[in-house]
Amino acid sequence: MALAACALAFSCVSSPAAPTVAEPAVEPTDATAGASEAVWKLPGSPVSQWKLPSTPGAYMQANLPSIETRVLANGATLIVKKNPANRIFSMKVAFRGGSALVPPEKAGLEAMTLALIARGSTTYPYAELQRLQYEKSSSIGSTASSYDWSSLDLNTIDKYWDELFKVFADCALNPAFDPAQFALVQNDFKVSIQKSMADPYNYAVTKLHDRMFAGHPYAAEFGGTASSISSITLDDIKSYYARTIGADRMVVVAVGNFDADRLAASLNATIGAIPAKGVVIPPVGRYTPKAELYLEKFDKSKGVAYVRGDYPIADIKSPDFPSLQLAYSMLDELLFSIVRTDHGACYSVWSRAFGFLNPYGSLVVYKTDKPSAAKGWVDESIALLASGKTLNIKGGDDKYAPIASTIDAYKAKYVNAFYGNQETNAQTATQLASSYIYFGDHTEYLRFIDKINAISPEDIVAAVNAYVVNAPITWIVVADQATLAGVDKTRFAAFTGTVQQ
Amino acid sequence: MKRSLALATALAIAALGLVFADGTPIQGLHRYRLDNGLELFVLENHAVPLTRVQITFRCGSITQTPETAGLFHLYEHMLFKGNSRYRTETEFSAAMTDLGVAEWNGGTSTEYVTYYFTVPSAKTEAGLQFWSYAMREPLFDPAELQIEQGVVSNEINGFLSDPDHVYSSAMDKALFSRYPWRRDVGGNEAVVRSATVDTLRSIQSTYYLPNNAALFVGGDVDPEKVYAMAKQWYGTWKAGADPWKSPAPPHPTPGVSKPVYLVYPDESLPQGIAYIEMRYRGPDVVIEPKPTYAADVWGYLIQKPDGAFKTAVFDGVPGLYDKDYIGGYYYTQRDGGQVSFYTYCFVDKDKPLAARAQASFKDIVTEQIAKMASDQAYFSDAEFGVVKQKLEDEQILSLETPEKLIETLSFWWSVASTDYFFNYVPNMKHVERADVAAFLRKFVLSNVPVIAVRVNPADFKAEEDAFAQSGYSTVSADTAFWWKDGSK
Repeated sequence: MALAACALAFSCVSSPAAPTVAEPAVEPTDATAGASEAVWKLPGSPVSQWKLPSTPGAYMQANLPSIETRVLANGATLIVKKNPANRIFSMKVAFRGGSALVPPEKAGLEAMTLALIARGSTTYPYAELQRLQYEKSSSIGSTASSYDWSSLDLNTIDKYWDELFKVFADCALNPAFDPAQFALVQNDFKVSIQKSMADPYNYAVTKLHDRMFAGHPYAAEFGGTASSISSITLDDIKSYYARTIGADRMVVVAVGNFDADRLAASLNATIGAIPAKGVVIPPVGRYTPKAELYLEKFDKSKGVAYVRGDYPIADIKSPDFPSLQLAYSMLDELLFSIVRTDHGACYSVWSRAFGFLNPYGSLVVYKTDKPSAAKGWVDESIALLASGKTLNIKGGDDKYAPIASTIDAYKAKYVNAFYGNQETNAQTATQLASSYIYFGDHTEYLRFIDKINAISPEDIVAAVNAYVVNAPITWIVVADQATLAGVDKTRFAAFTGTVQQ
Repeated sequence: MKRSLALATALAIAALGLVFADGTPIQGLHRYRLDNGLELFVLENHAVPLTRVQITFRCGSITQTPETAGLFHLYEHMLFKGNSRYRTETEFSAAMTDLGVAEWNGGTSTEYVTYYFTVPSAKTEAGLQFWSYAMREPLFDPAELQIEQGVVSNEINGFLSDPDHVYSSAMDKALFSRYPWRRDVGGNEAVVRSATVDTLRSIQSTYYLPNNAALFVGGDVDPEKVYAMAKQWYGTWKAGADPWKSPAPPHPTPGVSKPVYLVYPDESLPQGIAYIEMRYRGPDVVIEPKPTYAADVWGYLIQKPDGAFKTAVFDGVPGLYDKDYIGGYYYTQRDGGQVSFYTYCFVDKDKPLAARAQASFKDIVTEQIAKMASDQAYFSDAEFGVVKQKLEDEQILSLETPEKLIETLSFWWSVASTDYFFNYVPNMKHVERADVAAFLRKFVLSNVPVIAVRVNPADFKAEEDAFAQSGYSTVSADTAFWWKDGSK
């Protein structure tokens, strides 16, 4: 918080990475301009035809030997990936469940509970944690960046592991739940939410999800809302800890130069002794999509609009999900070329697939002075891809080329991006935990390259037509009143691209 | 923050000091210089089959005038819009995809402009070739320029609703009032709108020169082969006059002749919580390198969570939020070094913010700084020992990925010099109490601050009169930018 507030360096980029998913919400205001209810259904079965090779690829074969598992005394799984290449030790104690366990009026309860656990134990008060983290260049904290799971995290250096682990484990087992620290954590969350809501893009995402997820478990925004955070009491947190922080939704992941047996023994004497609590995680179904447009006023965003549209996509376990991920990589370049390069209509534009239990896709036009026209150019880009065309990356007079002629390059690009997400031990720990939680198999992420390489041009076309063309997109445009007044609502009422069969 | 990353990696050098590879103290890092003056740094790291290629120029807002404010940023955008080999932005982008580029970008900052991407290591030479066309032979098509002027204008207008940007601009305008455009990367929309191909060509011929650039290549590479590739693709790039031969006069120190007080009604803060900052002009690293080492050691010392500084400020200023959010730092710059102190606090009508910032916070901080400068025991030997230990630990952390080292090296090369970077840790370890005291006397105790308060608009309303009576100027998107007030 302090660093963000006092940051001095402003680095301006031509093509920024997509801003992170929005932070928590505030109370909704008036919606505008409901469009047509789309008659649309998700495909009953996958439209992609690709199959994994019978033999795992080189990446999986190279990495599998470095991964071991153990079952802890309390029944939780321990996953250890040995990495002797550096001296960093990273551990995640992850918990499945997330928003589904928390009512919307208490949204942020799990995130606050984990944050407070990381604020000291009865033996090691927060001041002691702070001293250790400063002197040992280590961190004890928590992550709540998904609707479906969250974690307690320890990152340290090999030589400090024993000392830091002892403190970390004691925090998990015997959290102090100090009222003074509770008040500070609650304020930290409020500050974070307020800061997020002062950003027009985050504001747009939050307002959009307020509408999209009303009545769905994801209505409980994982970081909380201003009102929900204010309503949470220390007793709520103590109760939530006692009821839900248990072995039945726990998985422990460690990445570093660990000895798996020694680590398991340490855990069995501590975190591995946390019992199951009989937690029943409610099923997370699909949200009910609505093709609508919302206009949200943001007075300070004068003449600049932020446009986002979300819609349901394939389940993360479906073969269509990787097809869509690769398709979005192609779509991003079409969007950039058409919306930004050809028309200079925005600062950036992108698409994304969010692989939550309730998965959804996103289309974003970031900082635009032509929101209505930009929506049409987004559809034009989608239609090109749905017609089997990408940018012509081989040069020549034709701007576009058949997917078959470019797909290998997009695959290489996507695989390189995947490598880039494995660079730190903490990133690898996140991959392992996520694979375990979403697939029930911690090695699933190792199949990523094989999946991407198996996708055909026909899979791309089929996935885009099935999930994106004519999708029931819930749109939002955030800008000042004058800009909103100029929005042509009819442009958002339906897909306007022309797909060539 | 960039600063801490840079510091962390520089610290990595010390413990590796016995390993020298082609004149650098960093294991795996090789250094070359082409005949045209282009510096080349090659970092070997074979962990994954990827190569990071980055090229950085010493320019940015530091080289701006009121008439060119924003043009370095526009130029950075235009480099993606086509060159002699890839004639349009679409061709440019398509070529990157064809190379398997996963991540690419350009960035304009106060003191550098940089471009980078990551390619499969088998395509390292193609990556070097790719950037050579962009750097040497951009097209600057007038029609493309017109489109990009709109894009950049959207970006600038977007800043007007970004509270951090508004605040930062207001602080720069106050502290660097003589040459505020040299701190303003985004610049003036009117200047951007009026840019011509000729103005971009002028920037190119002055700053986009091999003798004002450094090329960084890191990953699964053979340094000697990379050197040969660099000579192949950059060796004929013609050098030009040194753009830094006659540098502009430095920003004045002190930055203000008497304390300046600002209050920013800021919707990014919740009601009940405010932020206070006191900022001074600090040393410019090229002109005065010595105090910058002391400043960085000092920055570590006062981070101590239960240290004397945080404790005294927390206990002495009423209604502070938490010790975690009390701090101070020195920000290294070639042209605009700064020293800052900050805290969060609770809003309390019985403890007016205007006075708490103007008197309590300033007085307690100043009192503590005076003690640091005069009391040999303020920081114990053990505390200095922890700093040395942290230097070694930061080294281990910074070597986790090659990208961190390249980014850091690029930063230091731009802002200071390679020699400064390579000698950083040894110089840090030579810092003594007297050096810290000298830095604090000159840049805090003999200096004049800008004091600012960020507060939720509703809380501001309740204390508006007190702020006005105490001499605070109110910051808004209309007043924060030097180019909007009509004075320049």
